[in-house]
Amino acid sequence: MLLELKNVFKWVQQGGQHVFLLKDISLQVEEGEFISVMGPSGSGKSTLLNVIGMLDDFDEGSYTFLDDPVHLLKAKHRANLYKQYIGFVFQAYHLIDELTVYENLEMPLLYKKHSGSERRAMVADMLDRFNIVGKKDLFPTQLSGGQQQLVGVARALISQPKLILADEPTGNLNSRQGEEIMELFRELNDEGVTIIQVTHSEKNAAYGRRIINLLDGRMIGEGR
Amino acid sequence: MWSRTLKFASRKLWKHKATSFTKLFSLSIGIISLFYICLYVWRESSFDDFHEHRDHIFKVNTAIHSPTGNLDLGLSAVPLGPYLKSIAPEIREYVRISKEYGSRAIKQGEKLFSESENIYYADPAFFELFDFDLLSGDPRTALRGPDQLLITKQTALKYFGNTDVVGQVLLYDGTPMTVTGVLEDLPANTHLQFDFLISMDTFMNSRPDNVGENWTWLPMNTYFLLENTGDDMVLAQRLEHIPQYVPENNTTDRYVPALEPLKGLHFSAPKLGELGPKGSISKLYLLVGIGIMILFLAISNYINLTTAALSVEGREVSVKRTLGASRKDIFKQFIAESLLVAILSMLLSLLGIMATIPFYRTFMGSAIDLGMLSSPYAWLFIISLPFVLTALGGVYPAVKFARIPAIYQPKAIPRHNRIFSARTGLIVFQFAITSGLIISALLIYNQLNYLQDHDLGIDTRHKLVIDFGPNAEIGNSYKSLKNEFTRIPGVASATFSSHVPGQTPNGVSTLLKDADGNARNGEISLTLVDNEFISSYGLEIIAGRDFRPGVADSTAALIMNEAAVEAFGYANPEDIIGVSFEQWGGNGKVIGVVRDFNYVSLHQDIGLLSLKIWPPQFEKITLEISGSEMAKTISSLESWWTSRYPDIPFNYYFVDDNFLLQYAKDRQFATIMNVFTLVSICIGVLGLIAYASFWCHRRKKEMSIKKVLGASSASLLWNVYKGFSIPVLVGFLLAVPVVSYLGDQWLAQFAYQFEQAWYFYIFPLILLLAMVAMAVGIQTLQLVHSNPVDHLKVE
Repeated sequence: MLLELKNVFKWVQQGGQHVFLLKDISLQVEEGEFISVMGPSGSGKSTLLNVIGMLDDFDEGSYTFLDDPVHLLKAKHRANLYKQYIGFVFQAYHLIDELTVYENLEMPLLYKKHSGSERRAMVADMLDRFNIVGKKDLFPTQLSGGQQQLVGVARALISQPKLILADEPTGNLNSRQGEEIMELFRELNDEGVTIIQVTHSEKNAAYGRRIINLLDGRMIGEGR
Repeated sequence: MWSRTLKFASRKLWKHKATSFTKLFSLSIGIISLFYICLYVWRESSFDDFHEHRDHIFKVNTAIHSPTGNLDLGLSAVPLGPYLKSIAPEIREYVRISKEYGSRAIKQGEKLFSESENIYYADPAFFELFDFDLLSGDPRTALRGPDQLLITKQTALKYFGNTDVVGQVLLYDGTPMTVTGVLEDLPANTHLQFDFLISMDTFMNSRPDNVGENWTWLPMNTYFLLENTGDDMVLAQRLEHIPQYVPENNTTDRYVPALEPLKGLHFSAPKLGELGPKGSISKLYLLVGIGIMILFLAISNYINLTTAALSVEGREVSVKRTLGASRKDIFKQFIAESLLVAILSMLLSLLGIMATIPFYRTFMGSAIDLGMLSSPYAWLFIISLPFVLTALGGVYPAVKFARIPAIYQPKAIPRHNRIFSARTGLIVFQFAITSGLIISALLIYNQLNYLQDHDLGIDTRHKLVIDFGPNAEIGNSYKSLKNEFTRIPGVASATFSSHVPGQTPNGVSTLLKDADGNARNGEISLTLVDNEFISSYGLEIIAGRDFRPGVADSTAALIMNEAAVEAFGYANPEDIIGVSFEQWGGNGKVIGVVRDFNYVSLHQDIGLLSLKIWPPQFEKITLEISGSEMAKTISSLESWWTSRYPDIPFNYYFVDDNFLLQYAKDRQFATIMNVFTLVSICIGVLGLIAYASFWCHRRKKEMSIKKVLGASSASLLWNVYKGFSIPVLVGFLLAVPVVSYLGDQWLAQFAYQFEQAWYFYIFPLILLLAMVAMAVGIQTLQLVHSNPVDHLKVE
């Protein structure tokens, strides 16, 4: 098992009352799964993704990632964990504007202290694999949205994570570009990468092998 | 890793050009200001530090206590040095230096120049005390024997065209003198500033025989080189018991000699007759303060702009965090960016310094002494400066950025609705400094204008002075010369004198019966004039009469000013008319009283003055020029003069220009203040503009919502303007008491001060608020007039 959430609650204090962002979430994810999280705006999809990605805390419950009890770990240890095993893909790509494609891909490796030759090899691999060798010296603003997201996915993959967390990865793309990204996710999943994506679109959700529906922070059902 | 970080940092810098420019510009200006201030401070604080024996050199000052007041002189009597050397074993050597007053004609071949203020007489031991480099000549013998002199390198070049001139002859007021040595040009940081150094034997030969025994004539700057540390206490004891200075009775002047160390001489209270420029330690502190403040302004701009970017760059930091960047990584990145900015600013300021150094040179009136750079500390400072700047300006923003969590939460960033945040605090402080400088600059400007426009009680307009130096022959023929001068077209009148307004006449001991009938001694300045001086300068006789031609007035008649009359206790000027006097150069009766006029700068109250006719001592001719053809009149004067006196240079200036020269130091100070005021305004306004742009970026949504809800443009603008004006106003209010205190201190050095009016403080405030309006207004206007829909899209 890759990860397990047990009775996770998260709330914020507003006007003297608890407002629940996540309510009693229990979820098991096996390696190799492809999960789509669906739900209306404000239902807690992104919060759930952030909790799974260890970027956000929760207030109650437990979270085990590869046998490590995340809720008990210190921040630094937790950071090491997500640095090693998790890659993030964002709706707005969030590439660094001042960095070229090559440098954007290289960045996570710098933070993980890979050696220079390792980095060169890994970035070259990625460029090859995504067919963007010709674009390696361009800056993000010189790319189309679809190409930027392609780089975004490549960046998430470069340190060979076990889990990819994607928050509306196609939200800013047109339908054709979106489809390409989803096809890419399917391929990655076939290769064994676990993917959890948040999406609004039924069509994209269908790429997942399992669908989780959220409403007001609560899981209201699992599909397939 | 670092090279990459720097590369990315420089790309970011390039991307945000406006902000980067503001940061770089502010920091560079701050560094340049600091550089010049350091240069100045170094020069001032290193005065006479290069003499090896500096710690063992002491100088004698003499205070004269006289019934009409006390005088502090940096001078001493001719025999004092040799006398003390003969009785005090702790004295290794003594040197007397006497500065030649008035203009001298110096000639070499066809080259003829008028020299003044740059001629010293000195004892042979000069080079044992003071370490000046000689290009040629023997320091032990160069000043031994009469009619010998040393000149500086630039003087040698001026007269001879080369420096290999030992053995050559210069005509000094017609007397041949042999050059026995050539000095390397003097450094700027010594109080001994001369071009000609003449042997003391020459001085003795040209003065009356008995000067060697005269204990009440004080022409010498006497320096002692003492054997050991602490010897000065012993010598000070001896000075208290000089037999010649034991007072005979209480009506005579009392002479009190005292020792002053060479170290610190530059900053001590100015005394009459001292050599070289004096420094002001309070001005030095003020400058250092201003330098630090300007640097602080620049650094606070940096902090302000960097942290203001939080709203723009916060998301990027969050993304990096999700990609695995630790807080340390983020911290390092921002420190690297600060370091880059600091280094670039250093390089920019280097260019700035190279571009501005000629102005500094002209401004200071001396060669730049870069001796400062020979100190290892200077280099340590230069190398460490970027790191210091980074520590001061970069750490705080870097820590702030490093605290940004991985999930971007714009709403988690504080809204800055607090009345006091770190950033408003910085703006308050920035504008406190700027207001302070503006008020000070205005204060100085007003005071200087006041001094210039102040009625001196004397007419200085259209008056040209020919300064021919001491020449009894010309002086004695003044009557016929006056006739010849007035025949030259454009010359309305001519009058001869020893000094002209703007020059401090020598004080002389004067014995006079006071109002109670007792004989009383007093130090009174004496200007020697002819019988037309008073009328020509528009002075007013309030009692008695003016000098009259044809009457045997000469040295037996004295005219005094009101101040002198009062000093002798006469309430009514009429009462002093006819009273007998004894004074240097002749005895006689007081014939008139002249209304007080300012004969020197308004730094000083009107001193005690007496006027007397003594033609052999005349050195100057004042010509009143009428008509508009000034240049033509001057050229005909010059040709007349050079044909008549080929060996005396035609050395002329205007009385009003010469008078204003006394304010040169104040003007210099005013310029410094103006420059720094301008610099601080620039930094402050630039910072405000850049800060306002971030502010608009952050608030565009809020403003758009307000606009959609029906707020008028005017009310939106007013809201923003108010937000920026309040810190500026607070800063201004903080500055006012500080500056008015310091301003009063500065004004206290002038005997005449302008009256401060209420608008004096209002004007800078209006100026500041207008600048805020400009800095903030344009961007807010753009924002207010943009389509709110553009800013209300979902983020």
